[in-house]
Amino acid sequence: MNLLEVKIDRAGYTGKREAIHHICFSLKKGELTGLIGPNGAGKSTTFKAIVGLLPEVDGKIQFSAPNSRYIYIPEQPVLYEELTLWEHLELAASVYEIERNVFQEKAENLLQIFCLQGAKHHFPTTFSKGMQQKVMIITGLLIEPDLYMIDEPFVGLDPRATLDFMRFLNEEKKRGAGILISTHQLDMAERMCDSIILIADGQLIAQGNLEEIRSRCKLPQASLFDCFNYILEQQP
Amino acid sequence: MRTPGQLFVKRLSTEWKYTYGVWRTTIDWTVVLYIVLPALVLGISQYLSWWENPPFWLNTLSANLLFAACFLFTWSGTIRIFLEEADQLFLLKQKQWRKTLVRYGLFYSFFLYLIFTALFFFVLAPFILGYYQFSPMQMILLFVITFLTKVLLGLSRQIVSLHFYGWRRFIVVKGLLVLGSIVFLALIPPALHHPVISLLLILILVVAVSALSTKRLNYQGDFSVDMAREREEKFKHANLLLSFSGANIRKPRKQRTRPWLFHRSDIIFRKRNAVNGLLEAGIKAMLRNYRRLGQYFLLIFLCALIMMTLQGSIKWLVWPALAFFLVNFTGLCWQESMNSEFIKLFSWKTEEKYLALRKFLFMITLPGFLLISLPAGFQAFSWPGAVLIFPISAGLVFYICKIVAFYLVIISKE
Repeated sequence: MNLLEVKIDRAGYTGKREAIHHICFSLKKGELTGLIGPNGAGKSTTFKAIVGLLPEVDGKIQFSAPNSRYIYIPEQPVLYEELTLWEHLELAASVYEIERNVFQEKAENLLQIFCLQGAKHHFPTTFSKGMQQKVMIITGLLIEPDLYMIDEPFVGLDPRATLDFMRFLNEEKKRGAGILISTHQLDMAERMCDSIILIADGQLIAQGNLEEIRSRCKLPQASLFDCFNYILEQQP
Repeated sequence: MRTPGQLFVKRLSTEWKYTYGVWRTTIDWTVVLYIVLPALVLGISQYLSWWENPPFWLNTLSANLLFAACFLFTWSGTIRIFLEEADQLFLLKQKQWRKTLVRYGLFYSFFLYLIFTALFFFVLAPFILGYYQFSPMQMILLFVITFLTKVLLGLSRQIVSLHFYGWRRFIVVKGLLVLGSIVFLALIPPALHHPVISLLLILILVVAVSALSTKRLNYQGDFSVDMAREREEKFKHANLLLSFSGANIRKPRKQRTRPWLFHRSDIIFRKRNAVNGLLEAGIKAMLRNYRRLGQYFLLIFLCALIMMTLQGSIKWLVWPALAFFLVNFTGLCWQESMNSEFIKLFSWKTEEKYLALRKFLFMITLPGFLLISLPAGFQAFSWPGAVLIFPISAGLVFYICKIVAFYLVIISKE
């Protein structure tokens, strides 16, 4: 079952209306898809087009059900200046009406795992970038959405937090959540992702699982890194 | 850039060009022709008429107010040092370069202070010489003392801000303001009648300014504080124009690690749902934002003053208008909070947003509106008025909140 169907003819910003174009893909239940591409390729713009944060979008974005839960975690953490870390989680729990005892147990556990217990009642806007990223990730994991859209989740995370986060993503996949992540860490994408979407110059230039991408490049046994470079070199 | 002097000139000219560009975006030839030139002509003719006949309202103002105005003027302005963030990498180890840049920055600031003080006295001259009957010598002495005090206070404030942090800085700076005003107002008016004492004061100020300038030159405190101040100064004109444009710009502000209020993230509503969650976030955001709270109390104070001043039936015609105004102000605070990107991460139903806003408007506006209404009710109808005004105010605010919330959430989004 597809959780998300994306058919973007063109999307962009005021003054740059066609930042991305001809991007079509879908995301199934329990699937982890990696959105990869060079800097400025249009990965973050694709996320913004999907969640409706762009002023100019021509195309069709369809979620499996109108009430499906999804969370978008942007590359730059967005946090409330006047709320503490715990209050951010409280707000998320209120929105999704998570039972109080379930919320408390789960939130405490996540804070423990991501080593933020001591900063529970602090303002997260005073945190480092990595800690802020953890707050965003915890918020996502707390509400157990049907679909995660995470832009560069590993930037700023320490190795321990990266491992914990990968473990959680695997658990969420097993639960049936669909996950769309963008990353520059191709070794990580190769290990984690069920399918890969490669974007360059604002358009989709390759997609499929690693085997399909290798056969397209005629590079059997090659790493995603090699395939990535090969495909980009073939671009006009 | 081969010398620190060249670097200073380059930075100064870049800043002037930037400031000129900022003003050019607003003041084109039509603005010059239709607003600036007529204002200038009107201002000059008014100024010339003051030399002939001082304005009648001066009769109510004593000379002490002139000295108070001079002191307030000395408290304004910022001493510049023209260091930039990238200097951490390139110049901090080059002590001589850094010192020379700061020295030029200080000279430039003193020169600007001199120009502004001269302008200040030029504007006040018809009152000082014409109305308050100072002699030209007294005015010159007051000018020199004001200029030197301005430099001294500017340097002191800057050194204090580098030396202290948080509430200590607040206390010391405010202490400096209070102490400075007391000394200025107690010493200067009598000293102006004795030129020798005035000259002695000037000598003391010159020595103090030299000592503090040397201290500032050699002082290497918190570089981030210096940078924050420099950035603020560099962009102050752009900030001013943007504030008039009504653009919603979130500026990073200094923040405590933990909040004073609800410091253990205590919940306000036992029932947890989207409406209460949003409402709770809005209330905490309002109560923890000192700028917004300050504006709220200032508005209440002004509204209460209006209500106390107005007499007869006009008072009760203005009263609901003030309620409407206050509810709208609270609505603006809500919208500012809800513009947070974090809030936008979740999908909200329109009825949830409407209900949360309606409750927020009522809970935040009512206490303030009661502070406005109670004295007015007591003033008009004694104790029965003060008691009756409670339910009537609550009812009025309740219905206005319903209308404003409906407008902000439903009508304005359509």
